Amino acid sequence: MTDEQLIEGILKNDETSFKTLVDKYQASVLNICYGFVRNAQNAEDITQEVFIEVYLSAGKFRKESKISTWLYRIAVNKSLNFIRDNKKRNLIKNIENFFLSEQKNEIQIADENENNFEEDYETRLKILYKAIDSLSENQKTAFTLGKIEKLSYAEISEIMNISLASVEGLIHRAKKNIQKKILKNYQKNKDKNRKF
Amino acid sequence: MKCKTVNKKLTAYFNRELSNTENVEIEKHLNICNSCAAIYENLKNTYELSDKIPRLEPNPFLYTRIKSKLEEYEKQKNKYRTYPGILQPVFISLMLIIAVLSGIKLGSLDKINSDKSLYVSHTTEYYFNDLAQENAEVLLLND
Repeated sequence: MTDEQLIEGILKNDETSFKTLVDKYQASVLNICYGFVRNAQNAEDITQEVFIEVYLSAGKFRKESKISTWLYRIAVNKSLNFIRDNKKRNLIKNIENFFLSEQKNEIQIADENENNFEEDYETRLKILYKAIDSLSENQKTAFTLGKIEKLSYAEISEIMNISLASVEGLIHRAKKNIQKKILKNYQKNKDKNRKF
Repeated sequence: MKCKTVNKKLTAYFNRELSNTENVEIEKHLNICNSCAAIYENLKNTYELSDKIPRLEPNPFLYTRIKSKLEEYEKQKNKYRTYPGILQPVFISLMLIIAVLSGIKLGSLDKINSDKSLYVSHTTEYYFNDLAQENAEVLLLND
């Protein structure tokens, strides 16, 4: 079944077409969402929302673009919205924590643990994720789509609705910023070790 | 080259953006300075992980969950659509009747109000006249 046939099937309320579409793209959508939110449960919830939106608005799909482009665009938008909402929630939580001394102590302990540096795979991955998360929304989107789904610059430009040159620029700046962040992290660690 | 200068140029060195002479100088420094070499190795190993980011395996029940959410959504939608063919015109005509009746009522209220306003204007005239007569009373009081 081609992607166009799948969409036509969904428009006719054909359950098999919808199931085939979910089976075909669920892994990609899930991993794109995970690349943004870094939490498996949240990524799965967003993936469900993506496919529900696809089912409900299949009629709006313009056949000029690929179905994957449309799906990934929905996934990116939903993930970014989730992060924005989460930031607001965290801000409120931080204000609450500010007034609770006990929780403040817990945070300080957690920070100290983080400083006990171990050069294992998990730690490196954490440093990398932290660096990626510090990027601007556009840089993060371009970098995540390129690295996780190995999408071409042309596909990324279509998903983000920007020119090819802009995608190149975004990915280049993202790379530089990530490297700078990683470097800063290890330099800071070196300075700390010197003090002790 | 000093450690500080090397550290500043490490990302450019990693991306092979430096001139040959600068490359050679940094390489020399990395061979003799353990801490700078360690930082460079960490940068390289950590950044290279971006090409090997682990992938999540989708939940085998994902489709079932999506399906049940969609059914829930349809149920919710149908809840608000009970007898849409009959209720909607009945509601609209009721609202129209209420609007017309309240218009008539407001119109008749205006007539009553206009009579009252005449009465009010008379009373004010009385007050005015009272005030005019008051001069004599005030005079008497002053006496």
